[in-house]
Amino acid sequence: MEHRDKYSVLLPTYNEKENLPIIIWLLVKAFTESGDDFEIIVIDDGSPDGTLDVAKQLQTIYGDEKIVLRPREKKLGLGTAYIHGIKHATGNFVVIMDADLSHHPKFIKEFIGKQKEKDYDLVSGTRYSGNGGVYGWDLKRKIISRGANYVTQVLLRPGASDLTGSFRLYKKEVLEKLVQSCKSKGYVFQMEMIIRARQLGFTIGEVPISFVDRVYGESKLGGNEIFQFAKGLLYLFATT
Amino acid sequence: MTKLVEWLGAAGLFVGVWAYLFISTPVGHSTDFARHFVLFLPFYALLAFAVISVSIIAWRVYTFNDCEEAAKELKQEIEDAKADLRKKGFKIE
Repeated sequence: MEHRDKYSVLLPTYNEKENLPIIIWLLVKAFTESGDDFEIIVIDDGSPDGTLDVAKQLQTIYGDEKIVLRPREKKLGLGTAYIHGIKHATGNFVVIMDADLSHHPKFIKEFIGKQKEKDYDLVSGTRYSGNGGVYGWDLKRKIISRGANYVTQVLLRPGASDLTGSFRLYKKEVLEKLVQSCKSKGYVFQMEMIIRARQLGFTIGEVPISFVDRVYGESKLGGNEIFQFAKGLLYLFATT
Repeated sequence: MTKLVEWLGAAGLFVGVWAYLFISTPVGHSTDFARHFVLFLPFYALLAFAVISVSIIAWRVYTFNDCEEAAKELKQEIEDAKADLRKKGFKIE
C-alpha cells in the first residue's frame, strides 16, 4: 500500500487575530488546489488579543483534523514552539512559516515540487535569488539586508542564499534533529538551522519566494537587533 | 574545523608567505616600488576586497526584486478571504 505524504504546517502565533483567518483561508485554498494532505498546527503563545478564540472559530469551520490547536501559556520562543508543534504533527513533512501574511501559501506547492526533485531533506524559501524578492522595504532596509547577507555568506559560506528566512519545508525527522541542536534565538536561530543542516549532511533545495512586509512601518530593524545578529553571526563563525 | 580556525589558518599562511617574501627574497631589499608593494600587500588586498564587496552589495541592492504584484494580489485575496469566511459563518470584526 502506498504511503501518502502529509504536510503539517506549523504556525506559531502572537497577536495575529486579524491575520490568522486569512492565512488559514489561504493555506486551505492552496492545499485544496494542490490536492496534498495537510494539517495546520496553530501554536499560540497566550496572545492577549484573543488569537486563540479566532483559531477556535476557524476550527469549527474547517474541522479539528485540519486545524489543530496547541496553545501555550506565554511567549516562549520559536525553537520551543517548533518542538511543541512537531510533537503533535501527524505529517511526514513540516512546513514552517510566518502567520503575518509575509509568506504566501501558494509557494508551498513549489516547495513540495522542489523537494521531490531530489528528495531534499529541506527546502528553503529565498528572497535573494532567482525571482525572489521583497515588497515594502525602503533603501535603508535593503542595504542592511543585503549587507548582512553578504557578510554571512563570506564568513560562513553556508551554501544557501537566504539564511534568515523562515519559510521552509522540512522532512519531519530532519526538523526534529535540527531543532534539538540549535540554541540561538530569533534571526540567528533560522541561520543556525541551515548551518547545522549542512554540517549534518542534509541536502538543501531552494525556491524563490516573494516576501510581503506589511509591518515594516511599525516594527523597525533597530540597533539592538543588528547587534544581536552580529553576535549570533560571530557565535556561528566561531563554533561551526 | 570551524570557520574561525579556517580563517586563522589562511591568515597565518598569508602572513607566513608575506613575511618570507619580505625577509628572505631580494624583493624585500630591492627597488622602492617593489618593496613598497610587498610591504603594503595586505593593505592593498583588504582595500580591493572592500571595494569589491561594496560593489557587490550595491549591485544586489539595486537589483533587489520589488514584489509589487505579490502585494496587490495579497490585498485582493484578503478581501476574498473575508467575504468567503463570512459566508461560512466566521465573525469578522
